[in-house]
Order: sequence, then C-alpha cells, then structure tokens
Amino acid sequence: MRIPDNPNSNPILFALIPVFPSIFFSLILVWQQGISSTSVSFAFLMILFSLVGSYFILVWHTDQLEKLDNYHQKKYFEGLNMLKSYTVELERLLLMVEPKLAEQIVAAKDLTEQEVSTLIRRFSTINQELKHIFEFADLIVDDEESEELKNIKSSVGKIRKELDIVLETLQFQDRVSQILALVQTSLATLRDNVEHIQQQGQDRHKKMLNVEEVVSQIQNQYETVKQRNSRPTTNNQPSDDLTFF
Amino acid sequence: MAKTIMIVDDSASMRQVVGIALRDAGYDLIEAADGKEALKKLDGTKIHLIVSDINMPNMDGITFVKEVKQHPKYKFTPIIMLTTEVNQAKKEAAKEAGAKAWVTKPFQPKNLLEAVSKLIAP
Repeated sequence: MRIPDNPNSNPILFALIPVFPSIFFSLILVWQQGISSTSVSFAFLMILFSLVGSYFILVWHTDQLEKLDNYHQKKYFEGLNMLKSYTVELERLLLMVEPKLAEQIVAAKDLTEQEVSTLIRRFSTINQELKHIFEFADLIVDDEESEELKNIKSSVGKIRKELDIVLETLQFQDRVSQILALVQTSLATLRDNVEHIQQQGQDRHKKMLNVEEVVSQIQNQYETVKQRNSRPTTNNQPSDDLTFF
Repeated sequence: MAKTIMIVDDSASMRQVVGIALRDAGYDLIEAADGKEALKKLDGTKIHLIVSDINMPNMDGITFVKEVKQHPKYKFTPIIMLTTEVNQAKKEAAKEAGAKAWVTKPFQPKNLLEAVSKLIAP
C-alpha cells in the first residue's frame, strides 16, 4: 500500500498514519501487562488520543495547503494579468505608433519630392537660359569668328553637359521614394499582423506572429530594391539600358 | 502640330525630368501618377506614345499596359517602360503585355529620346 504524500488525495489514510504506531505500542503494552481492563482502557485511550491528534493535524495541514494553493493561484493570476496587460499595451503602442511613422514617411517623401522637383525646375531653367546663350553665341561666332565668343560657347556647352549630369543624378529621388514606400509597406504589414492577432482575443498564440516569415518577407523586398539600385549611376559608367522589344 | 506623350510615374520629380527631356524635344505632355489615373486621362484623348513606370501604387505598370492594349483606341499606341526594375521576368512580362521598349532609370535624356523617336516620328 502506497502512503499518500498529499492529505487531499486520501485524507482518511493520511490521518491514520500517526495512529498506526500508537496501535502498535498499545498492542505491546497489552501483551506486556496482560489483558486487563486497565491495560485495554489505556491502550484504547492511547489510540483515541492519537486519532483525535491526527484529525487536528490533518485539518490544520489541509487548511495550510489550501492557503498555500490560494496564494500561488493569486500570484499566478497576478503574473498572468500583468503579462496580458503588457501584451495589450505593446500591441496598442505598435498600432498607435504605426500611423504616426507612416505619416512621417509620407511627409519625408513629399518634402524630398518637392525639394528635388524645385531643384530640377531651377536647373532646367538655367539649362534653357544657357541654351539661348549658346544659340546666340553660335550666331555671332558664325558672323564674326571671335575667339572669346568661341570660348564662351565652349564653356556654356560644358556647363550644359554638367547640368545634364546633375539632372540625371537628381533621379536618386525615385530610389529614395521606393525605399520609403517599402518601409511604409513593411509597417502596414506589421500593423495588419498585430490587428489580426488582436482580433483572436484569448485564442492568440505565438505562432500567429510568424516572426521569421515576416522578417524574411521584409528582407526580400529590401533586397529587391537594393538589387535594383545597385546599378551604375551617371558620369563614367553608362547607366542607361535601352531595349527594344 | 506637336505629338502628345503621356508619362505615368508616381514620382513627381521623375515626371519632371522626363517632362523636361520631352518638352525640349518638342513634344506635348500629359502626366499621371499611376495606372488608374492614366486610364482616366486616356479616355478619348489623342495620345501618340506612353512612357510608364512599373512599380506604382494603385495600378502597376504591367497591369496598366495590359489595360491599354485592351482599349480599342489605344491598342496600337507604343509604350515605353521607364523603370528601376532589373528583374528579367518583369521585363519579359512587360514585353508580353505589349510594351515596345524598356529604359532603365536613372536614364540619360538622349536614350529616352532615341526610344521615343524610333517609335514615333518627331
């Protein structure tokens, strides 16, 4: 017979554990003293006291265990609630921060687009003015063959070439916009994931986050843009690629 | 009378760079920020050539080309893809959709003008 280590599993058997030695000693006492009313009564009283004592010990022990159980349960639920509110706050933070970040990305994109557009417009105007000077100088050179005018024409031509390179370089804005759009998309993906998980309520679990999958998806998108942008740009290396189908 | 070219690109600065190159060469220009806006602007307008980006919001360039090719009035309008895209599959997709040329960004205006003048007489 297995002796129970928890009084709740078999309280009667647990209560009888201290009684067994008293029965044993009572039997020895009766055997030594001989069967008499005194020895039997004494043995009986011994067993009775041990029974009562066991009962009180059992009650006290059960009570202690219950208190301990309640304490741990309370602690467990407190910890769980703290974790739950932390998760909820974390989700709330992400969902509140995402639109702000998206707003800032759009603002950054618009601002750089606007500034670059202004630069392109101004460089283009300068280029047009230089074109007029070039054409005018060309007419005069044809008539008078002046060396100075030839030099001016040559300088204007060089400046116009430089401006063409500047206008080509300013196309970097397109890449910046692409990268910012990518960041915007990644943030939106993250927000959608969190919203989806939030809707699951109590049924949410870590697998729903698909952390590796989301990170790899974002990384792949970025790699594609990096690959697109690793092409040579301006000046010495020809960046153009013209294909007719 | 100047020929009209439509430029479809979500980047205003890119539209401007293309615009400068094409206006300098004597073309008229219509601008659109994405495929959807371009389709709206196409409706009934006489367009001689379209220059379109690929990666755009709302409607990407490939879908836009397919839509244009289904339009009875514009199915023969030549389209040039002007893009940062280097993916060969996308290039093939553009070709299959009906694009006539592919120019990669950043571009030199002379290359774009070469493509334009080969597809439509100036």
